[in-house]
Amino acid sequence: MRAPMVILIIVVVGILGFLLVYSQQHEMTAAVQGHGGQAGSGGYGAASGGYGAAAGGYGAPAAGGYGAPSGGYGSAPAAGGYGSAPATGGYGAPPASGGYGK
Amino acid sequence: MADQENNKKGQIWAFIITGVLILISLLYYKANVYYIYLVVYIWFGFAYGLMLQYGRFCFASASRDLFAAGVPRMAVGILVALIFFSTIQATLASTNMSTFHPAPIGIQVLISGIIFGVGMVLAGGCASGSLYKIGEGNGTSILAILGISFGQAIFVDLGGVFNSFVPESWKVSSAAKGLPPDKVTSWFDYYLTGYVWDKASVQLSHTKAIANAFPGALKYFIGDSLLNALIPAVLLIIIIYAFYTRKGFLKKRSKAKGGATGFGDEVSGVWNMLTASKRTTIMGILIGITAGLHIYVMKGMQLKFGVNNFGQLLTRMGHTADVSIRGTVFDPGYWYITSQEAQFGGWVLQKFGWNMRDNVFFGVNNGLPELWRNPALWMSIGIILGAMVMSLMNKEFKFKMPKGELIAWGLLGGTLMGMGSRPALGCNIGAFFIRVAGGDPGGWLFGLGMVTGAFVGVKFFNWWSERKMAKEMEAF
Repeated sequence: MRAPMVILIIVVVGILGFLLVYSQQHEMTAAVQGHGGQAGSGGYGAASGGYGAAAGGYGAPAAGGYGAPSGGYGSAPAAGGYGSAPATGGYGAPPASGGYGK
Repeated sequence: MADQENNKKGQIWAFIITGVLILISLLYYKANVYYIYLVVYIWFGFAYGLMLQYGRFCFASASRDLFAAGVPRMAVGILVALIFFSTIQATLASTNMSTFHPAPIGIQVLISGIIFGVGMVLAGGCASGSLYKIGEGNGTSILAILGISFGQAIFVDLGGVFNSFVPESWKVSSAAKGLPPDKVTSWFDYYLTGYVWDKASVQLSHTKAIANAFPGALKYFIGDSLLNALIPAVLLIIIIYAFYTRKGFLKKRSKAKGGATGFGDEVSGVWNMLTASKRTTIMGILIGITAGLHIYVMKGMQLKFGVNNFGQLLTRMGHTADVSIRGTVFDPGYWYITSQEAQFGGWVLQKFGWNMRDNVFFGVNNGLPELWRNPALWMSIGIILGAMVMSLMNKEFKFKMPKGELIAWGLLGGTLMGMGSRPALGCNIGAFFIRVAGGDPGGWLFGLGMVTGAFVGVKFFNWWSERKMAKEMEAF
């Protein structure tokens, strides 16, 4: 294989490798917690209004949290945000996994 | 000498393009750490582009080669990629690291596949194939992607007289969903909310039979991977072997051995077919692995930022005009092609004053982000640039201006691909490759339609070419 091609492959594999490692480091939870406050207090525009089509989708963080279950980003669904809309008769039920967006 | 110089020039350009992408990625990261989510799409798109171009992976070529020339190379490569991807997909699902979700199954998927299949043969490339061919400088593919982009955007927003064809049952069902009336205005809105959303989505691992028989992680490997992808893919490989290469291979074998052939020779024949084009097969394996890795990284990013849609990050950054009323943008979480092109078309039409947000597709589901903040669109740009880099490296880049009837085929084929992919909620990648590997039998339904449509398209092209040639001969 020619040297330029080898260099290119190394660069691309290196970047993908970096993104892989970076994506698995979840220390960002702290930053996310900050935003969680906003969400809980009705942030994210339409979300608080209840068009949350993702039944269980947006609520996922609340269900397990990423180390920040108390008042973190996950608290939004509990406060009537994304996840609760379908239960109240929103149109959210069909795209259960957030899938019809395509 | 001149050839060597051209080669060097190509390599320099390849590194310049790669360097610019690295710079763009760094600028995004510097602007806001959340943009790293978008950067993931850029680089996986780039990797897909490199591999698609190197392996010359295209579903349209696969169909054309198989039906018109009897060459199974590409079709086999796609099936190999599917086998690897489904195994990785099952592993990810079993560790709760998958972003896959099945789509509603129904006759609409089959019909859409047929329309898409005809379109991809006319355009000379499928949705992913057209993107990598743009990277090679193919002008017809640019027209095909324009056809896909604007065809879809217009398709999902057509109201007025088109709404008079909508069945009353769709309207009733749609109204029951409680959507804001100003967002349900096109025939496609009624189709989506009043028909498609009422259809069941199936993922084998989540069916009662599979989940009860194989509790735990095994259900993903048995249901989604083995039953939905591996066994059908292996059967298809055997069928392709039996119809296209078996006779010739066994004849040669028999001659070489000077006697009858047995089961061992059949196995050798299948292996010979699989390895006939190492380039395609190896790329099939790598594409399968990369697509799996892509899902893993996207899921990791979602967990990292505590979101499951990039729209939430855009909202945090204050770009609320980009997102839908649900606060979302199109963010598939894996390899996907057509919706982001629809967003591109919609974005352009919106800039020209066409209200594209008054429908479910853009207004409720996918949003209409600025192009530079559209994650999936960056994946498509990455594919184009990755393919361009690879073709420059291999001296295969050449800009070809579309001429004559190719202009019409490109636009028509692209439009048909767009019209086929929207009702099915995906294209050859999103509705077939990803779905089949994820355990959704609907993927095979789309695949069946796509192959049927491609067969019709190939036959049409053969007829057209012969007719044209006969006319030319007459004139001569």
